[in-house]
Amino acid sequence: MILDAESASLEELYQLLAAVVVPRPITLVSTISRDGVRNLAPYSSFMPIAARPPLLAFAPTSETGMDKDTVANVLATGEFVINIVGASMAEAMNLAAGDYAPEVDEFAVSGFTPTPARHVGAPLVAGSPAAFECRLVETHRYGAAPIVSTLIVGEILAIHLPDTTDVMSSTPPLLGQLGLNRYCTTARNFTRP
Amino acid sequence: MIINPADRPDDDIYRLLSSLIVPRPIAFVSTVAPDGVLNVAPFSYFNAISATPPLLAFAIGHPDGGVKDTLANLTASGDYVISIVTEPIAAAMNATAAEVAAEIDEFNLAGLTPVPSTTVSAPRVAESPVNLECRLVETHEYGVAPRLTTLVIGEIVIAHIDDRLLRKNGTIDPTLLEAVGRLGGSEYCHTTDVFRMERPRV
Repeated sequence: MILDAESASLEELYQLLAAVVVPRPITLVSTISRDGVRNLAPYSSFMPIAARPPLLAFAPTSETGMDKDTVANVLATGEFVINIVGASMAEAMNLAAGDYAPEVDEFAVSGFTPTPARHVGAPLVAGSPAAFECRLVETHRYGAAPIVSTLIVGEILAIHLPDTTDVMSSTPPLLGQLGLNRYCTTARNFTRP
Repeated sequence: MIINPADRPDDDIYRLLSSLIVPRPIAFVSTVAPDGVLNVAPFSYFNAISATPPLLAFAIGHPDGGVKDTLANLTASGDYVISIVTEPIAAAMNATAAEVAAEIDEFNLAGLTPVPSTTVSAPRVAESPVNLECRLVETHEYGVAPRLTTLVIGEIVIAHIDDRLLRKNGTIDPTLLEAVGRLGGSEYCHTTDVFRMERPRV
């Protein structure tokens, strides 16, 4: 099949990218609004960029013409926390994926426990295999209203790891996303293809 | 344990990011040099960032202060092809990850077959069931020389999908793709063992 991007529908393009750019890592991004309302939302448009400076990026997409809570909070406060999603956190992560109203606290909805960060106002997700406190570096907007994607680039200020973790030799199974509702874990792996 | 990135060597931070941000999709990026030499190389700091326009981003680190062939080529030509790395071509992908001189054709090195693209100058990888022909949109540079990283953002012009990946309704089944995911160190994961979760209705 040949898909000409110019004539493809939004649905076809979404399905194409979700199905072939796989497996995608997942982050639960925690932010806080100017009014102090916490927000937690999963994104699989997530990637590291560089080690020096230590940079990460993720890209929320809004189809409503209004920024998602995550984007609005990042722009208002200039900070966010990237929480890594362990395989055992899959069901709670999915609960946080609902499209809730701004005043809804996704920590309460999903059952995750917020714990204070060191450098930023947004909380960490307790029990996450790793959390990165980040300062906003820049944003880039793509698309045309009402469908706009915002590439958010952040610099890592601190990395939180459980005291028992030896990440240099082993990482616990983490969650990956394929397609729109399909997930895999990193438990089944192999070395040097 | 709290790690301050400023207190650690670059290699430690690279290992942490590569071990903790997993599984990563692999962009197998094919380019052509102005003198016609073909290049194909894997990059796993990669993802989709927008559906309309359909945009892909990948990061090229150039730790030695030089410019990688991929970046030099796509900057000169303004285009490239991103192929998806599947289990049957994982070993060939690994062979192209070696640092070789610019005049070496990695297709030849890895036993892969370049085929002409429809809309761009860079070739597709015949052995991959997914080839995404991309036009360069923009680059963003981060870091301080000699430790620079370039984030390359491109728009998909045409997607070539092997018909064997299609369901009866025409959509792509990601489990038939057998894509390989990148983990930390020298580890990779399979994507054939999946489970489903429907998003909650609000």
